[in-house]
Amino acid sequence: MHELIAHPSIRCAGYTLQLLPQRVLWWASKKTLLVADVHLGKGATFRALGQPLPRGGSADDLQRLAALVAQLQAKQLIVLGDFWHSRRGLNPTLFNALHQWRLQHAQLQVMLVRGNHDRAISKTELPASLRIEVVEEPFPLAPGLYACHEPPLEVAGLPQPDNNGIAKMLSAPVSTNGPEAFYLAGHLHPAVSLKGKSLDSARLPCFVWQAGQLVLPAFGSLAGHLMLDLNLLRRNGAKAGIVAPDAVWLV
Amino acid sequence: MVTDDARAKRWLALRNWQPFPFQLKVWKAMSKGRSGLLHVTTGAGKTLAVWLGALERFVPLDQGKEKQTGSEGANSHDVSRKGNIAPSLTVLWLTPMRALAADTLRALREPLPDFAPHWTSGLRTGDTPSGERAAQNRCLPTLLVTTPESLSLLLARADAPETLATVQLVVVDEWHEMLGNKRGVQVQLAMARLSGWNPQLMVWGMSATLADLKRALSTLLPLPAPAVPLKQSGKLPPAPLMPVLIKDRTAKKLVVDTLLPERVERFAWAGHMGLSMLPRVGKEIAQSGSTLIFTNTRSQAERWYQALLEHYPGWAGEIALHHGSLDLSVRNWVELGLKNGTLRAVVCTSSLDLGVDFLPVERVLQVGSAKGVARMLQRAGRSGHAPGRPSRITLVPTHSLEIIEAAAVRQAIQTGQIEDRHSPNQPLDVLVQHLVTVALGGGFQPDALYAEVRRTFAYAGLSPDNWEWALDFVRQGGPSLAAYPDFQRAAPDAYGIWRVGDSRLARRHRSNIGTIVSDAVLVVQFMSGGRLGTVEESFGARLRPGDVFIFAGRLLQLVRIYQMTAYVRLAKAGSPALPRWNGGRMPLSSTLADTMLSELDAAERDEYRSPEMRCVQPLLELQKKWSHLPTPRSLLAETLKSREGWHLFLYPFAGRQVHLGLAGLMAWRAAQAQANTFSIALNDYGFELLSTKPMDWAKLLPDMLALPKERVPASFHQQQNQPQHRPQLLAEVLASLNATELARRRFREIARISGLIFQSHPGEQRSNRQLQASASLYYDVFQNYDPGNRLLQQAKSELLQQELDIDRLARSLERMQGQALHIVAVKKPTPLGFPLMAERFREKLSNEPLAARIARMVEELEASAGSNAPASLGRKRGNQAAPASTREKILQTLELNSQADPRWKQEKDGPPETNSPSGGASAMRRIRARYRRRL
Repeated sequence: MHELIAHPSIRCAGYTLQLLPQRVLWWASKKTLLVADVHLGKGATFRALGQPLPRGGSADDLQRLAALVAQLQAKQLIVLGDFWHSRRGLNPTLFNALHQWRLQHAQLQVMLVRGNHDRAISKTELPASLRIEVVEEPFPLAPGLYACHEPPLEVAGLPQPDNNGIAKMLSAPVSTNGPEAFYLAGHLHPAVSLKGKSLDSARLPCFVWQAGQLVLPAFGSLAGHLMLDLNLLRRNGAKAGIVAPDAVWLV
Repeated sequence: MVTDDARAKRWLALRNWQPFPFQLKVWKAMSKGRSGLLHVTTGAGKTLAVWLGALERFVPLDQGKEKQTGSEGANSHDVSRKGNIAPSLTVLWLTPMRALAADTLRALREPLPDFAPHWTSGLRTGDTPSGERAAQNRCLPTLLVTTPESLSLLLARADAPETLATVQLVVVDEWHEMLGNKRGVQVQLAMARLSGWNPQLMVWGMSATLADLKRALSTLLPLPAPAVPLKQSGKLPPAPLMPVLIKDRTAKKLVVDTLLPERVERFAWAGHMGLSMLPRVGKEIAQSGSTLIFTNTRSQAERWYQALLEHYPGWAGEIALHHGSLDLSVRNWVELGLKNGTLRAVVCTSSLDLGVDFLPVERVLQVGSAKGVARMLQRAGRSGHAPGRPSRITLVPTHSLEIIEAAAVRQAIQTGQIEDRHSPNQPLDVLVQHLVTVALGGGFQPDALYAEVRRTFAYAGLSPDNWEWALDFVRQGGPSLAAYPDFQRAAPDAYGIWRVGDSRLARRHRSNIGTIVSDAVLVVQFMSGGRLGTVEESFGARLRPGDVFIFAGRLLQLVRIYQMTAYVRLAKAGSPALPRWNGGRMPLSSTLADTMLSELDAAERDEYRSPEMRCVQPLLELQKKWSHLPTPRSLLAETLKSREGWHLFLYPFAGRQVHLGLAGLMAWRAAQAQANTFSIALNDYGFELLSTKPMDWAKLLPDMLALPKERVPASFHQQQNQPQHRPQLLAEVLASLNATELARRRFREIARISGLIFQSHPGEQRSNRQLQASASLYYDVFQNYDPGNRLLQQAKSELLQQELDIDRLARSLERMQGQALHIVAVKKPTPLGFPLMAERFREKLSNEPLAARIARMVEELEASAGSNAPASLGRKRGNQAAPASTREKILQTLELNSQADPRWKQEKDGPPETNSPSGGASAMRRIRARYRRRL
């Protein structure tokens, strides 16, 4: 556990949250783990539609999640949307793995802030035994702190706000919770490309931390990335929590 | 059937033309049903040679006259004015460029009324309107002019075996343009398919400027299918006739000269725009008739056009700009102006390399080195584009070393040395695409298709192993049965015929056929509606509304970007940005590099034979005085100690691609003894390594240049058909460069061609959001969950073959072993070394682990942010930086200061020990393991 201390913590609306290189947010005082965009069943969806994505991604993601819950002794897991990829990806293999996982952590409370992908799946398609509580965004976690799927504020570092239909992806509800509110969100799968004065470059997922909002990187290994412009992000006064294999670099 | 050429001669005679000897030869060969390759310079009459030959062969003598047989009518679907039924599809004419197709068809239609009035003819390219395509779908014309992509689409039609089996002749125009790339492979596969349906199929290639014509011919023609006894007689059919190679022996007169700067000492030693020569170029344009000014990049073309207009405002309307990103209508207008001779000059790129005859073009200027002999010949051929007229090309150097290239080009042309092009070897992505195409186009039996595919040059050595993998890939995504159970693209039906079951997959495949992968682009359009062309999305993404940029020869201001369209209006003034396109700079060809070394060799012996060499004599004498000249027999290395550090300059003359690999390799080897970071600069002539730590380059160099000992016999890898006959060298090169990132870039094309990702078409709604994925995602996922995926291996091998040119790299290393090594410690940079020191784009190479690299990059980022670097467009924008009050609010809200959160300060000052990439042996091991896996 002491290793954890090394990772950067941020203060949001008066609460201390820690950015972990496992692409999750850890709220130590509440023993709460926050993840975004797991996209379970994405591989299966692709295969069903005739695109060859290999198997193993979802199982891997669940395993990583289980390991984290165990390691941190988390009491709560909050998913910031897009736990599922699509109804085509729902199959017995996936449900079996999920049941196993729920049995392992029977005490864990799981809450899902419904994301755009989750909305395509009706309640009846999911076994109640998974015990996942579904709430709508913005969900108040604590006074001044809200859990969302889509970032309510304009995200710093988006290459071109009205490009690529990203604007359409973000329905951008204007915040009604007062200027002091802080939002935790996902949806974008942010990543940046780090470049030195060199041949050397690396694409790495990242957290985006700006006034009033923190966007988490996607947890799912098949989720894919949206590349943000790191320089633009920093010019806009935001910070990127760049996820390296063993560390988060807040720049 | 008549087999003489009387009609063709008569037809020419009516126009007061005499047939050329090569035309007679083609007619003779075609009359016997032979295939072949015709090699003549552009503008010599090759189209007529093959086309009249075809008409002689396929139009019976009596058919051209009015003749009624009376039997037609019952099932006729297309009756010409003369009453004869139009024969079904007989001749396919393939052209590499859509833009050329219409002109080609016009030329081919000319003799039709005299020879075969009952023949129908048509065009089928991506630009063909859907109505016309639908009409063709009911009945294909007798002559069809089309592109490789559209031919593949025809092959994907369910009735392909019936409609395409009637093809008697395929003519492949500009074969040299496709020979060396995946489009050529697509053509090879199509030829094998067509000749499988019609064993008597004739295939004629037409090409200019190729070194190995025999191989070009055998690459185009599929091997004959094994003879099957005829049904009626039980006898074997006659063996196919040997193909012929026909060359035009009449050499076209070609003049190559150079616009020499008045004083070479004052001339730039480096640089690539070359605008200092503008007044000289203007003078040449003023004195000549219609002139083409070739540049090497689209940005350079835009810049030169702008500069010409600024200096000669009176030429507005008389000069024009032409490059591949301009809108079709703009390009058509320019081409028409060239044909009519109404334009004084056109600044262009390789977009005008090919095709259409611009008879009035009198002069061709080439700004900057063309980097290859073949390209020079091609461009020179744009002038004097008619039999008998001389061609002339004038080089406009952009820096002094290019003057030597000019001399070398002429030397190479005189001695007949031209670059060679090779077909890609067994690209699995193209094969995978072809499998689905054929599964759609009537289906296939694996054994028969395997035999058919192996009749092509590219897949002659396709191992059963790779074949099985490709079959498995389209059936279930991979070799192991458990790999992708719910995935299926093509699969055998009850009769063992492989087909595509899902109509959605079929549609998706058809709309993504082809091997040309373009970058995502934004359409540039006026607010009022006029389209100008396209810029790459990456450039568009950097623009903000209000920014000014140069495009299509105009100063434009961005209004907004909406749905992949950049809306613009004309700008009045402003410091404009210049779009950059990811064309990549062409490396110096080895043919030209070798000739350059010979020129330097002559200079070493004080022989300055040409005006160009006499012009650069002062520079070369200086080089000799301070150092040496590199020659074919000697390798020159210069060492220099400056304030920056310890420099090594090496001049292998192997082109920038190879120098990238070599520089990486040398730096990696030099860093083996002691971890170090090198800064690398390179150009076509050599490269520079710079170390901030002391290096005894002279002592290290012999070991750095050594060829690694290879243990595996070469034959083993030839069987594997992998470019790994030098596994040791490969391993070193891969280890020395950031191979992951380079291979990932390569993978984009492979993912597109093999159907992993689809091209979105303009105006098309993304119907299936669930299926959005990038090549990069596939690359990462395959790395993690399917590392044996052969498309990944293909990416790596293409990276090595095409981007790093590993064969040429190995050859250069081999050559260096035989050269005398001159190591000279110089006091200041020499004429050869200075351009390297002045290179603005420097690359760094280091053998630190990933975590340390990230730490360094973060550090560099922080450092550059301090100096306010990333204002990429050079404009200050008030709305960019958050206002001070917001900034303060951030600080207050988040308590983002060191007092409030000590851990954050720690992070900023450098991570504490437990997190430090350099601290703790176990952390180190973990990082290394991760890094290895990523590679």
